[in-house]
Amino acid sequence: MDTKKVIDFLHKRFFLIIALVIFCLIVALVIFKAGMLIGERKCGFSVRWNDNYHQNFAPRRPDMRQGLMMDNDLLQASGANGQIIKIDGNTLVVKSPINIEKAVLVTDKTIIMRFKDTIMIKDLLVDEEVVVIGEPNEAGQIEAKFIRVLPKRPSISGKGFSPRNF
Amino acid sequence: MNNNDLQLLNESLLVETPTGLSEKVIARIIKERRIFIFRRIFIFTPILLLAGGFLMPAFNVMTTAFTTSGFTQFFSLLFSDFSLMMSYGKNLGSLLLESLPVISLSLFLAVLLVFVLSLQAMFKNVVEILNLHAKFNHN
Repeated sequence: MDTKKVIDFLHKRFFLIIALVIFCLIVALVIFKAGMLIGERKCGFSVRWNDNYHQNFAPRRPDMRQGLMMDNDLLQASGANGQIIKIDGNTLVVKSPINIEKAVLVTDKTIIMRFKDTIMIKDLLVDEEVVVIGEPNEAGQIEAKFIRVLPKRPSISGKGFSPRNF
Repeated sequence: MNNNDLQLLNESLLVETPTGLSEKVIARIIKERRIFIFRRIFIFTPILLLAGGFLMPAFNVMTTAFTTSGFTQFFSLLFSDFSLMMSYGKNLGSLLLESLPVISLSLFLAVLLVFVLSLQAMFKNVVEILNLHAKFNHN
């Protein structure tokens, strides 16, 4: 092989390919690490949620296999979404669209918003739909940092569209 | 071009081919090419139909997964409470990653990829067969 061609290849392509391979490896490793961290967080919360189920919700422990499949194999640890089914002091029980209850602990630092107004926990109503952002604690609960009350979606027939939500 | 190549070219020009041989060769090449394209169409049509058939169900599974996981609601907070979300950026980031329906999304993208690639192959085959028709008719 012509030496000039080899040098030309090294100059034009070889180092570029090496750099691309290294870059792809870095990206893959970062994604892998992020997946590990997220998985660890979700798994830890799911275990604590299951262990503390009788304290947070009911004496009967649920079957974790029900409703938890494919993308919903583990619980989200950093938040919750769904309907408020119970308000007990500083704790809300939020039922997700896949029928998983989560205990949400409201602290003094929690910001609760309904439209543009900041409200208190006493202003929240059962059946309201909320989105919660927070941190998981050791009791299998989510310590809420921010709660957004979502407007009730009107049905086609107009039922469920209540003025109290406005 | 070196000397050997020039010699080969000169000698090839001296060889007399039988009458109609080149036409026969070209006709055979076109025929073989057409068979090859039809074979490819025969392979890619079921794949295209299958991928097309699975595209809508896969899309529905993905949208349902996005809704039930709460990803769309969490993502909407970026628009409704942008300034507050800047303070809770880390939490929101984790939450979005946790709620991303990876399996459904991958499934949809895989079906979409197969559909797009088979569509491209079909398009290429159709263009190629039209070109062959045009060439053959012209000749």
